[in-house]
Amino acid sequence: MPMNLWRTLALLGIFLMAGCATKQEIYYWGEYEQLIHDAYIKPGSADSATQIEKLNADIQKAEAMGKKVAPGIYAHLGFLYAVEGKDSQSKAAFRQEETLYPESTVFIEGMLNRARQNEEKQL
Amino acid sequence: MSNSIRLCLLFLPCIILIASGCATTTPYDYTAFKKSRPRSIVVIPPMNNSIEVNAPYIYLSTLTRPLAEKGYYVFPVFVIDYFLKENGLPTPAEMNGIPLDKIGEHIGADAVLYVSIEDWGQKYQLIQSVTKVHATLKLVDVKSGELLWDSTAIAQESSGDGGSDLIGMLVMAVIDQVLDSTIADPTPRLARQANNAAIDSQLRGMLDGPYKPSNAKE
Repeated sequence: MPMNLWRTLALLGIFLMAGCATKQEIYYWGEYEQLIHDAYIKPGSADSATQIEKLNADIQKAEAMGKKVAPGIYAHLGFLYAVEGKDSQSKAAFRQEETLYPESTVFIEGMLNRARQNEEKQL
Repeated sequence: MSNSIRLCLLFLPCIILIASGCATTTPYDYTAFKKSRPRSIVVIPPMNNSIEVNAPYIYLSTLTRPLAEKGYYVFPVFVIDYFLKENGLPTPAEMNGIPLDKIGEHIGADAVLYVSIEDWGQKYQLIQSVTKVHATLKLVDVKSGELLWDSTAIAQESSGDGGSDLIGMLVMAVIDQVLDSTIADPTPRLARQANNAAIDSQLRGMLDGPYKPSNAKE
């Protein structure tokens, strides 16, 4: 009997807490924050090629769920492509961030301008 | 006394305690926040007053989601950190001193979230270990420099206690289940709990941003 009582109480507690926490999220988050964590804390496990692969998979999942890609993900992806030297994919991802979130325009345009200036210097 | 009545009496304080956990105390003054109505937030890598050297970047990795889910555009935290480092600011201490007009000019954010970590990580005590996450958050308007919102994100859990405390046991039961499927470091999970509690608090949480569906028409 005491065991049953505890089990009931534990279940009730879980339900009540779930009631406080449950909410519909706007975005699908996938691996984004874990990748940021790993890039800082265990860099070996999150090189840019791996991150690109996981973020692209997340973007597909978000689209499959009919959810908008979360703020920052395309910009992070654009940065990773730049690290890999894939300039056109980098620009495309940055533009996508800007299209989804016009709030990013100043920052993204600044980065694209500096990238352009660097290219010109190298020529 | 019948069993069912006894059961009800056991439930009652439990429900009251848990329900009171969802609400907080005094209402917050949102005058500046309502006037500013920021759309975008840049999170500056946190200052660290704890002894855990990894705390700032572990914590930074947990802040995008709750802010974006609150309806704000959140600048890509890793890219911003890289950008600041490239521009001669190698550590969070220096990054926290950037003049607001520079943030406006180069990042274009409406608001800055300044974070200071006060305590972080696991401490071993006599018969148990206690893990703590404790940070202060300050949201500042980039154009006016006014404080829009501030709060404390705090969470803690201990292992080895719970024998006498009912709520503790309930929480532990849930936490143990979660732990089974996650990595050993509990601080990111605790930080997420702390962030959600601070940002979503009914009475002194952040106001909804423009991407929050219920807020879209305002």
